[in-house]
Amino acid sequence: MIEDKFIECAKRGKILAAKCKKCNNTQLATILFCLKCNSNELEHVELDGEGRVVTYTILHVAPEGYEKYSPYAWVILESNGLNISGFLEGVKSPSELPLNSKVKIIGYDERGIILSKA
Amino acid sequence: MKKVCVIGAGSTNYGKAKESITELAVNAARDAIKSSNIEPKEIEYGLISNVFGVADKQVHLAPVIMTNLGIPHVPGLTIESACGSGSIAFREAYANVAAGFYDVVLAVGVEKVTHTGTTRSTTLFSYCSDFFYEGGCGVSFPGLFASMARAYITRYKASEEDLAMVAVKNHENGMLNPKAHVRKRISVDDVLNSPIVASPLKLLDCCPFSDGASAVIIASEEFAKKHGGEYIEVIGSGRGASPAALQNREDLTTIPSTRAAAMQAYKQANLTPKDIDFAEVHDCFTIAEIVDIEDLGFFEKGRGAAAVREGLTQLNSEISINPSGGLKSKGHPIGATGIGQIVEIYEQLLNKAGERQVKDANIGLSHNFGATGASCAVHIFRSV
Ligand SMILES: CC(C)(COP(=O)(O)OP(=O)(O)OC[C@H]1O[C@@H](n2cnc3c(N)ncnc32)[C@H](O)[C@@H]1OP(=O)(O)O)[C@@H](O)C(=O)NCCC(=O)NCCS
Ligand SMILES: [Zn+2]
Repeated sequence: MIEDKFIECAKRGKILAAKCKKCNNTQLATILFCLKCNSNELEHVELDGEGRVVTYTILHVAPEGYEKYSPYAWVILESNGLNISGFLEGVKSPSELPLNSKVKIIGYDERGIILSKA
Repeated sequence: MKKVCVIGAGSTNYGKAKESITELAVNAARDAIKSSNIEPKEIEYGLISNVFGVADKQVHLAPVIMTNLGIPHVPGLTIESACGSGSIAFREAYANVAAGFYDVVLAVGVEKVTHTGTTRSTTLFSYCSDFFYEGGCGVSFPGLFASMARAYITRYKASEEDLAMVAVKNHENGMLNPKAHVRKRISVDDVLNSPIVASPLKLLDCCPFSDGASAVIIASEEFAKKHGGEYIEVIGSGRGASPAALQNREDLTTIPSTRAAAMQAYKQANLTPKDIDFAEVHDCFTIAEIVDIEDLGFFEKGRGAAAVREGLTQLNSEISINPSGGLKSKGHPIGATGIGQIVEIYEQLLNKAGERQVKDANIGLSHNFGATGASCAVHIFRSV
């Protein structure tokens, strides 16, 4: 299963991406056809999980399972030209996380893709 | 394609309802039928928009609604497109009538969630996101729109006060709507001082969780003319889609599905944004209204916040945006919202909107999307 494989990579701090053999486009591996040329000849590649903050929010009203962590951040980061999002604990105020600051993927658990400041 | 009209409309109050999901839907449908002056047996098909029927122990809603309207032999279908379910059900009703499959279709939107409480509702709604990357990593809908808000504020040098002004304006309009959920006059300071839900969005930047139902009767022009009552005409209908997850969008300050749906609707109607007298737009959060009024072409990209600040979107100013109070004040029973907007347009174009009547309203636009705009429908209507 692709999500299992993706999770296994995230646990090692990596992003599971897919590179198109036809046009070289790289996208997240959970998307099965090339977004640029629609080919399904994609090859899995592991990318380094470090990137920069594109945007984020700090959640004070949390869904089930996250109440005990709040406030926490959910972040979209850009890494190797790809955007990916995840959960970031321990950020209480926007002053602690300027846009463009460095974050990295450090794992995966019941809270999803886990990030930390890099 | 046949010309298509809306010949009747009805809504329950929006808010915290005591009635069951079925009763809400049936009450709205009854009111729409009454206002159209048809008999239930003239309805040939039913489209029901709903997302969380399971939360009130009723899915497979169409047969139950039809049975309770005394027309159990009339077939129907439930449509789910998150918060955009209503307008998308309307679009399918429109397409069915335009194509000539049916002459008279009932579209009913309904939602009943408030009994589940804040945490459960927040969780249920998060299932409308691309769950693996969004809900499943702890983000709620307020959080997703907050992420767009941060991107917008940074790029266009807008402020949290600008966002707050959207809420102030919509609450002002909602004061004039007896069916609105949150009827309370608020100030910019009230918004800025309300508790943070997901920064930079605060409680008063958010729509509430609401219960409620809205219904319309859609008919071919032939039927509408023969039948003889009041009606409005649908002159444009468009659909659009965007990548489900925010992370897969190139630009977080625009919603591609809105632009696509609007372009189709304007083209079909042979109109431009300048021709629109008023619009019901999807303001689930204050930032959404600012992005919407740009994507719909009412204001240039990056000018939306300033337009709100200058009061250009107030009732009977340059363009009346959300005369009903919008999702912010009128409320957001997600399956009902898109149909509720069309109920408002029906009332406005027939000059029945009471104190919140838009002056000389001839052309109205409805804009409603699902999730962060992953799915969208835009419709344009005119009085006849
Ligand atoms: C903001 C939010 C967390 C507040 O919810 P809540 O804490 O459950 O609020 P409650 O129901 O306890 O209401 C408390 C009071 O605040 C009012 N209120 C609640 N939400 C409100 C809102 N968004 N705006 C204005 N007033 C609101 C209620 O009417 C109530 O007033 P009352 O005591 O006079 O009746 C919740 O409304 C929310 O998450 N909204 C977003 C919904 C959403 O994501 N929709 C999908 C959009 S895509
Ligand atoms: Zn390719």
